[in-house]
Amino acid sequence: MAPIRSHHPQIDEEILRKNEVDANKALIRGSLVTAGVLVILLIGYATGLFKASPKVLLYNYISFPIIIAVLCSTFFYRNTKYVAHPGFKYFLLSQYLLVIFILNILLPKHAILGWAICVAVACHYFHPKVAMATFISVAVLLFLALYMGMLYGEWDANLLNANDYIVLEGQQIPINEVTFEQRVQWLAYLRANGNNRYLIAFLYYYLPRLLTIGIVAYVSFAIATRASQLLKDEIGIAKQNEKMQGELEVARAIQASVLPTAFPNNDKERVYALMDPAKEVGGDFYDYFYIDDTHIAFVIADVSGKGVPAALFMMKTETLVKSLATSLRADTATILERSNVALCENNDASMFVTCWLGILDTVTGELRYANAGHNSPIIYSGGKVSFLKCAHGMVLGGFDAAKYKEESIRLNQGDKFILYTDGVTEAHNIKDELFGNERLIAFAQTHINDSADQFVPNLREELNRFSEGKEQFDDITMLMVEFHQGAKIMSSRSFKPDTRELNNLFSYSSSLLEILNFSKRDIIMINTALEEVFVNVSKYANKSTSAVEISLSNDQDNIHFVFRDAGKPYNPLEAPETKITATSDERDVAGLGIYIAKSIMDEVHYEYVGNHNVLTLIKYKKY
Amino acid sequence: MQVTKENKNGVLTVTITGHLDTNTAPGLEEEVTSALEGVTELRFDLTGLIYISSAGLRVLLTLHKTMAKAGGTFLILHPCDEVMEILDMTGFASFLSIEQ
Repeated sequence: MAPIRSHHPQIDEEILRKNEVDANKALIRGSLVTAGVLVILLIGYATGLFKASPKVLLYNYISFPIIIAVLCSTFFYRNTKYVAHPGFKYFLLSQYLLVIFILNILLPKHAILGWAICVAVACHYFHPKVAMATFISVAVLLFLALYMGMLYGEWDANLLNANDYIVLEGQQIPINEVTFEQRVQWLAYLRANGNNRYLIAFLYYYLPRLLTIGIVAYVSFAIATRASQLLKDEIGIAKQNEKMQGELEVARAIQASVLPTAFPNNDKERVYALMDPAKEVGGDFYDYFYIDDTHIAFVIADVSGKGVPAALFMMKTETLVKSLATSLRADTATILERSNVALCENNDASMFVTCWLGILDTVTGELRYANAGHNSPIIYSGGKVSFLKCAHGMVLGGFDAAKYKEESIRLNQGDKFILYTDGVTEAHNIKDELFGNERLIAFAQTHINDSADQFVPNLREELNRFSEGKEQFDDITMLMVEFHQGAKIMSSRSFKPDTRELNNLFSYSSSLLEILNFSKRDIIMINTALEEVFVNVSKYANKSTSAVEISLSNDQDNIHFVFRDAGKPYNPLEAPETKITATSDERDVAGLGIYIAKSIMDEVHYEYVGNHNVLTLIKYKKY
Repeated sequence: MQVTKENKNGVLTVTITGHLDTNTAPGLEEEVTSALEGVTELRFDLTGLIYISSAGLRVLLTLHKTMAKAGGTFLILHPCDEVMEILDMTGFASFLSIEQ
């Protein structure tokens, strides 16, 4: 990946400010180290380890303690606000330059490297102008120090063209005893003899050293530029990561929001599920949704790969399967086939998804299902726990002509099934053993009497125990469904949306209600409600459809009437409420019928599902 | 639904038996409206009426308004329990004069 260049002036400025403080502190440390070296030098002179002329020794004894004190004074600045002041670097640099300047005068032979330190330290500020100004200062000060050193500093044989002594006016003078006047005399003498030390020093002493310092400056500057860029990159990447992390959190929330988390826990079915993604976002999903009043679909799927690409493909799959299942109202094999075709289109990333889809008829208990390469669910039926027999179809997104086979099984009261992804069976422990099918079946057998909302967390905990803290690489998803015999449809019949059908409706409903031992009074009242709804529905439905299907079903507690028509969406429950307290004069009878129906029935619901108006009327049985 | 009418000195008694629903209500309205000439008191004998829906209530309401406008009397007689329940439920019992 190409480095992310930061082009934010704000960031750059922030970095420079922070770096400047660091550079100031580094220069303070450098000053202290320099002071330490000077202390050692002083000790060397004092003990006679280092030799110098008495005059130079005097200069050293006077100047070194002052220089050491000045250098050490910077120590007290290190934690003050001055360290962050933009002018502080000039103060520190000037001070250090001055120190090196003095040292270079006194010790022309040894202090030369000090200039390189000045330049290197200046580059540390990531400030081209500061580095350039320092380099120019070095060039000027080096020049001055060179000539002053020739006259006042420690004797440098190279500079003064001499060995241990000079000969002036026939007099031999040891170099340590040469005075300032004698040095000037000596240089003038040499010059007169065609040996111009001033020029030679400039050409062979000053220029090569300046060149060397120039190279040091250039290299230091290049290193500093690279370091500053790396710093900027690093901060840019850190900011980018922070942003990405934030976006992933949002993605995780969005993904979690498409998975249902409110689980039905009613008389018909009890469901509980969970999904634990291995990364922030996962490629697994479970889903369940009602297709109509008596059919509920269950989906479990596992997208190839993990992370963001898998999560995107998962969202696409989830949306497709759900919308096809609710709109097609087809068998499960067809739903998978149509989903597969859509997922194969433009599938350049060659992603695929394993998917198991089941549709449960909550009335009859029939579970119809089709499988696109997913693990066989576990079924508990007839007192036995086993893997559900499934034809293993091709994965979705693989190739667009894949065919799937619908199979079915009849569930009875209390039967259960468990959907899961291979994150469950392929959970592994520190010995790299897989949880596997046997352990899963064994667990299901011993825990099958747990309710769905206990079983799922229990299995998750079992996986945690098994893996002994080893990090899992796959998403772990599971869902359990308990089936409880729901409403039994007794009958269903189509009527024309025409009030002339009313008598047929009455005789139809009355005969069924009589079988169910409803009292004569209840039958009259329920029929009144049915008439009101039927008249209302017919009035709107007859413009766009030719039939209203009325089905009657019951369970032990109540009786349901479901009106279904394929007309335009129309919710009769939204008709304005009638004012039952209104007197005769102000009474408007609109809405009265629906009011009567609502009053008679215990529950009235309207839904528009699968292109149908579905109006459900429920009457509780009274004992 | 069967309807019989008896007019005694401006007191019209309408006896309804069977169902008064969406299909039968328009017939009742027509039959009663046509016989209202000179009627000062309109009585509905509902002893034999076993069923009434909002369509029937609408007819009763229309005729009640007509009688009120003419300064006449409107009376409901002997509704059965189920019909009475509907009249109660819809608030009709609060403004109609009903003789049990």
